[in-house]
Amino acid sequence: MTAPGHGSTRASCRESSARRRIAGVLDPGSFRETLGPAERAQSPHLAALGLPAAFDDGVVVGAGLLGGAPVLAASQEGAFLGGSVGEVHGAKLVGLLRRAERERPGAVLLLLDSGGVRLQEANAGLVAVSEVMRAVLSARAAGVPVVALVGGAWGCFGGMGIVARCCGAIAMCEDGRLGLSGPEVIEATQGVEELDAADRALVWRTYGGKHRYLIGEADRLAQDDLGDLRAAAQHLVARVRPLDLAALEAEHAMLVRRLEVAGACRDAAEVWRVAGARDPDRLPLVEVDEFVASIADARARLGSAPSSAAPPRAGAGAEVGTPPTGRTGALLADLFPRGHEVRDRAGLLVGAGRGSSGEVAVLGSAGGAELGVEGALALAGELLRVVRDHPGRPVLVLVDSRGQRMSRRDEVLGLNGFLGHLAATVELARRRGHRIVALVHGDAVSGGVLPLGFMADEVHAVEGANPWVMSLPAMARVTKLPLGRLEALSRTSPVFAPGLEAFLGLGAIESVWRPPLHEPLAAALARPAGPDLRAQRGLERGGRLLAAPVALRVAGGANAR
Amino acid sequence: MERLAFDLESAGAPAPQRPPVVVGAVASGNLEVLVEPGDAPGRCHVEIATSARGFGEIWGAVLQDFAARHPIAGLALSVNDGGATPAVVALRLAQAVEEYLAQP
Repeated sequence: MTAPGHGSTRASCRESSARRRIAGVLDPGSFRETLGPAERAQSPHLAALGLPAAFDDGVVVGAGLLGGAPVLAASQEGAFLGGSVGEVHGAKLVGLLRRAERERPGAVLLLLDSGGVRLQEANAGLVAVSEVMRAVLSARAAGVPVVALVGGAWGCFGGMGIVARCCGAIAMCEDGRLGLSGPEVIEATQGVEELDAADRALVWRTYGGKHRYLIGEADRLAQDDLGDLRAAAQHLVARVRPLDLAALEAEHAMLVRRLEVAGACRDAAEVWRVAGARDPDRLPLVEVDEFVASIADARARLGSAPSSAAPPRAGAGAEVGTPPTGRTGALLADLFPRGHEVRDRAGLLVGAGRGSSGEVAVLGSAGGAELGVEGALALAGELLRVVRDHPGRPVLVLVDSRGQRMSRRDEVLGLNGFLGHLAATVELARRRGHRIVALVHGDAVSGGVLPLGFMADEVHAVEGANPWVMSLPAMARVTKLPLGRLEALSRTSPVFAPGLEAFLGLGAIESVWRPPLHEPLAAALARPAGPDLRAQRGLERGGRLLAAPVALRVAGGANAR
Repeated sequence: MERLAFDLESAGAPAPQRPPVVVGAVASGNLEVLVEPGDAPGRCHVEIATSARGFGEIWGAVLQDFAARHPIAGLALSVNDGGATPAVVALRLAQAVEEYLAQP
């Protein structure tokens, strides 16, 4: 794990730029950048906000060698807008992963340092993150090992926290950070009593490498040293999880077990204690090697088989659920005039409907329900059950969610990992011949739509559906841009405007379904599944002009999609 | 945001043709500088995109000074600036040109 003799030449991951980090992890001098800064593949959206772009849009992609084996690699620059994913940034990652699918290198290394969706390009950023998720999982399903390396100063948050857990393995530096909702976001939305973002010890304890390694979110823990991170990458490339039913069932069991053992904990130190770690209060202080050795038993205990296969439910009776009523009930009646057995479990929809060509599994959310660890696990469990028990059964995903649940407990338990697992089960279902169609019937926000709805083969919406990323006032606060300016832009630019029109223009939503809904449903289920064409559609509709061509240029060759 | 362009005279032998180099990052108080071979012998073309408006004269002074101290004839410099101070700008420019020239 450590590289003795490296001591005198130790190079900090945290203090390195994206370029230095990628050079330090790959074989010396082997990295060749694709679409480098001189090509000026820059953000087309920042100038409208009075912000200078970066020549590489904050991400370096290319090819190199790792221990003599050819690999593809990407490295995010946390110093530029927090390493955030905009249209071009995301397209470079997508292109690299598509190139990997074609060339089958030894591995793809993703050196992640990102706050997630770039709020300055809100809608385009959300769709881009979704496309990166699909591209990572597609490359893995094709057999390419994809390894995430988290060691930058920014950490890995938001949608990129989900992307990291879509990868086949994660190495983290001790002072790297990984999560979904970052400390500032939780403090801003839930109050300082929930999480004090200024409490550094609390923040590192919650999101830091040690906790993520102990609970099994990270597979390897490295020191803050490029040589050590390189060694971790080499170790993991040969040990990535495959994307198959057995591996996802094992992953599912691990997450069930985590909730069983630690589900009542609200602080990382409590998790360490209930997992049986010795001297938990001392753990933040010990060196990496000593830490890894001393928590091995606790880590194994959290990763062992659960006592029951079913995830714990949120409340009594929730496992049965009730027939949906009101707007959701009417929607289901319109979708399935022959009847359905869909149940609403506190905002989670689970069940099946009788379609014109047979049973259709139904999964999703209603009433704006936020997605937390239990909900994500329940949905993944249902989808795995459909894959196991009903091979090839089509799946309808219904989306009405105001996003991921933002709480300290969800972050302590690793919500990004649960959402990444859910996304991986969707990819597995797709690979095993399940047709997956999503219908947005209410809100569709960030972590509530990324892991399930936006993973579908096709995404449609009903009239009145409302996809968005973040409210404009909150966006103004985070980006420090004047609210009036954002409001003006949101009237003209599909990149900022919340709502259906904008997401249609970006290509993220294919069409609007009108009653009777069983007709477009039958037509969608009858179409064959195809590749992710959202960027292409965004180009044709004029909402995203660069995503498709940039991905194509990085993927290389006219044969690349 | 403001876009500025300068055409600097620089004495000395023209800089060699090397692969482009970028240093720095666009962040508050920081900037990135891209160095490429230019097409005008004896001159250096500079293009700047900066978040801070109204500093054209200071940019001109910093660049004149830089051109007098460094062999930048035959180069093209491009800058994305997040409001760096003149001292930071001068350091980044020097770092960028040094890294460009140090390439084999």
